[in-house]
Amino acid sequence: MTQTTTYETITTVFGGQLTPQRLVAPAALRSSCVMMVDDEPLMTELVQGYLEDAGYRKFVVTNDPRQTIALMRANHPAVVLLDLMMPQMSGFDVLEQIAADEGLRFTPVIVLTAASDSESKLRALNLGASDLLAKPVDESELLLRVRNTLAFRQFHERMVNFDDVTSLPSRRNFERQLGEKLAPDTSFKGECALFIVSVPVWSQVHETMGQESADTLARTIARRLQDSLRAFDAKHPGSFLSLRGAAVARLRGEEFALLLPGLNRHEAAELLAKALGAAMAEPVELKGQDVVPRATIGIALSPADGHTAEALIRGAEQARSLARKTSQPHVFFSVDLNRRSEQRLLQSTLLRHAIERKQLLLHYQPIVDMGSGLVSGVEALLRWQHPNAGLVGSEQFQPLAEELGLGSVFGQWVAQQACADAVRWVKQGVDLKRVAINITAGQWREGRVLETLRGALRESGLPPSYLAVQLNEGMLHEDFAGALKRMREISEMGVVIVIDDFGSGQTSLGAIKKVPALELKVDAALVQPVPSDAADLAVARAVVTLAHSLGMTVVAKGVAQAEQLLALSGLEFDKFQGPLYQEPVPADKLQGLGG
Amino acid sequence: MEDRDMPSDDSRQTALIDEAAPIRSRLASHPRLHKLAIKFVEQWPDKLAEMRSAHAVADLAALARLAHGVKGLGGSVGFDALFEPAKAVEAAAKAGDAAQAGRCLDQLTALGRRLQAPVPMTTGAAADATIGADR
Repeated sequence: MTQTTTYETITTVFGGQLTPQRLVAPAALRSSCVMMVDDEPLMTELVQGYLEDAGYRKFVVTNDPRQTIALMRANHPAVVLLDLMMPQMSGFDVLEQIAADEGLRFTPVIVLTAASDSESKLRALNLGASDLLAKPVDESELLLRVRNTLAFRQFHERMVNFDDVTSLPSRRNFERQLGEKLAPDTSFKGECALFIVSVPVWSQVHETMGQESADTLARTIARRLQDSLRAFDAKHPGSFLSLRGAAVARLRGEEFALLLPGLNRHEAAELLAKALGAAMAEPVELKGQDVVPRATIGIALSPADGHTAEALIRGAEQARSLARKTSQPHVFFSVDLNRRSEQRLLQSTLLRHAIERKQLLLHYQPIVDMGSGLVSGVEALLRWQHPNAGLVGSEQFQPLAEELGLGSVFGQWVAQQACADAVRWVKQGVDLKRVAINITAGQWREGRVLETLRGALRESGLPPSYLAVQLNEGMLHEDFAGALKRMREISEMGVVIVIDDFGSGQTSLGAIKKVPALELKVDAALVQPVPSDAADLAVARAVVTLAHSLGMTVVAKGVAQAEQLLALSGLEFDKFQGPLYQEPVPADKLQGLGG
Repeated sequence: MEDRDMPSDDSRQTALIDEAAPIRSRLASHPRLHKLAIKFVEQWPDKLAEMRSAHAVADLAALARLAHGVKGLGGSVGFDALFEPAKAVEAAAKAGDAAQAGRCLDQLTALGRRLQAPVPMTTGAAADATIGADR
């Protein structure tokens, strides 16, 4: 006889009471779907009877093993009880089919067998059976094995679906919930709001104060998000469908999410974002320190901003990134934001291939000696021959390159190319004293500048004194002692150090005297108003006096007018560069390179 | 995994001591599952006949498979006494020993005559009754 049944039963045995003499299923496991595959209907009835007595109430039963896979796919049982010896198809074959199905292969299978030989048992275990139960079936043993198997599965699912620190749903769980909520057949027709809430200070706490403090902070954030949601619902009833349908999740370390079915109005979302922001602005005491878990929120609304979980999460994450970059407490996703984000992705892809496609090039700007009027050196400036946009200045792509981790790679290319060009000029008899290259903040932070310079000098054969590196004043601020050490190492190589854009930062005079730099470049902003502004004139004079007293030369950059040059000369600037002499140009267009 | 070569049950012990005593199911007093013991007793003549037929045509593979089923099911529905004889039939059939399988089958047949189906219950406690069935 062949029978296939799928049904739920509510156990009403022994007067509706579960007998205390038997192993009772924990409440959390009773609704687990138990599937039975045995060709003998009496056996499946018996096993089901025992399980019902213990409180289980959801079963899928088949007496035809050939239906196993289809029934598993349709019902996703939490455990399968499988007979081995069946006339239509053996349990071994069923195990092979389960193992071959990606969606089913991790389903626990308890094999029921009257076989007493270890070979059959071992074969079943090797084919993926998770446990064995001998026939004749003993009630206690059956209940124990089923309970243990389900309990382990439940534990595993909890680990996967919930964050163990906050007990909030995990990203995977949240994405599934979001997908369900976005289905058009829900009562709110897929209308919902998604908030991605980022708390950057969590990462800092994790790094500096340790896991325990980070966990405490995460739990506080979780509680505040939940409390804020409840308070908002009480204050603005009907803004979203119900608290019950809403979900708060922890996506990863510092990132949380809120899902609000039924909320699709911009104004209500804005109010909630403000309420969340206010709740998060309260300090949390961690190890005696007050930490403010300020939130950065990205918001996407369905269906306007996306119909799928993936699109909505992507939109909210884009909005959150923009909020972070622009230091805004919350930002709504927009089509324009999406367009910019796509554009950025495209640029990233193009930029990654820029070197191999030979799209990077150097332009040079002459640096002119104020006294002689001769070109004493050049500054190398990176350019990108963009496939669509034409020639692009480094300020437009360097930040993205550094975000992509390409800072050092580009820096290496610049050093190699500039050194090679310099060697070529020297060989041509050009009287060029120095080629200056710029070191970006990202390159400096990565700490491979020394290695890059050594490599470029070695490969090109350029004497180190022909090379200058321009460091921005801001690079001295993060770790002055470390920066000083590296600058000394560069200086000891014989490479000249130039402090670029001096005057734009906060470097103290006490600090600058320790720096082994030979040259200061004065920020264009300080020079441009000369000679009209008396105060700026005084500052410029002071800088020149200071630099000279420290044995440094001073270069004015961005010089565009003849009268400006005259004034700078009067202030005893040593050199200048700028459009007055020549804009940055390809190497072969350089003026004033005698040879 | 523990092997079930030696199921311990009073009915099995009784059967060994008194070869005329009825064999009762452990499930006889279970409010719902006693019905499975009743069904088993009802189906027993057919199961036995199938085994006999297989033996008669020397289909020892089929005999082994059927005996294997009785071995697992008999004990499960509370007739533990069937386990050892059914196991002996299966072993002899697998070993290709038709004569021994026949002798074991005779023992199983004799045992089967003493199976006692539980009294059907509607509510309340279990009751025993009725004699075993044989064809």
